[in-house]
Amino acid sequence: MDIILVGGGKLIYHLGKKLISKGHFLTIINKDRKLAEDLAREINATVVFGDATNKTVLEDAGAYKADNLVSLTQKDHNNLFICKMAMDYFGVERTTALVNNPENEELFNTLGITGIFNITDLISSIIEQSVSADDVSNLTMIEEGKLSIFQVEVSPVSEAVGKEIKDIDLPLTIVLGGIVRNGEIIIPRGGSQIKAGDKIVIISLPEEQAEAIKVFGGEE
Amino acid sequence: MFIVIIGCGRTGSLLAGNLSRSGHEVVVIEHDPESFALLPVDFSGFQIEGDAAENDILKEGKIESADLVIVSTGNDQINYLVSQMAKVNFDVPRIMVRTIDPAVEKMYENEDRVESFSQISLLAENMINKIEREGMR
Repeated sequence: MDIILVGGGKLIYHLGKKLISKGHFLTIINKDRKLAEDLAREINATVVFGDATNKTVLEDAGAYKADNLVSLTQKDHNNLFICKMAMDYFGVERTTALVNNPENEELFNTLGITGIFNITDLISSIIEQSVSADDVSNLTMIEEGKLSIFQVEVSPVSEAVGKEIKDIDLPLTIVLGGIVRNGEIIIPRGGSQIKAGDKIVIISLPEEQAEAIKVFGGEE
Repeated sequence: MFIVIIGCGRTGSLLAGNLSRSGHEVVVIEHDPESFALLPVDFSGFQIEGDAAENDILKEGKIESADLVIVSTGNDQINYLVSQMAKVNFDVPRIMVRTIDPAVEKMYENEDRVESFSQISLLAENMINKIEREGMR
């Protein structure tokens, strides 16, 4: 793939190296002269020094032949503008923007940006998970974080211990995918009883994750 | 009409003063409080200090009931974001945007409810018109 990366500070170096090692063709646009010079020396990519909100800079970076443009600057208005310009002026099909203000996620989506990194929500959910339970593992996000799948170990103090699944007070949007007990998989039914030490595989909306962890992890 | 103006620089303050003088209800949103000094003394509208790229600030300016929003900060990228927020998030019926780089005009070309005004293009057009008119004499 032909990929253009915009901005991104130090992150861009590592991201760039990783993408190149996977065989993608990379063009990096950065308006910090020193960083652009360093990148040009250290990375096997085309580096363009300039402001990507400027049409001619995007043109110099070969936007008309890019498959994907990723805008990672610290300013949401620049990320939106750069992605829209790439789409409207150069026909770039996939664009990805970093979103700092979580409220902008929906707007950017509506405006046709195909990939969105909602960095604030992402970090806050990671922080919440690590403080709310140490027993949560294997967290996977589906569709850019719209659905999460994770595993939680049932604590001895959990209100669910000894109860049948149908008697546990859970939001309807939380689905139990499996129970792991002594290395065996039990497919959960309404009548399955929960025991302390069980590992429950849960599928839920990210916003209800904390609720599920509270019920089985037994923490307030 | 109820008009919300984003940005109180030379353009925003001139518009705000004239529109309020001709009887419109005007709210001006500006992040730098010192810029409000540019408003004329007889300006009778409201001033809101804050970043217009935040939904909460736009709500404070009652943007959802605006008949017209004029986006006139000195930054094309901020203007684009705010115009889209007004259109998508608050369903404003009419939005006028000032553009600085004429290359940006095309971003607004196929948009309904949003019109762009480029100071450079207007200036050039004006001058050319005058040259051509005088050439006719």
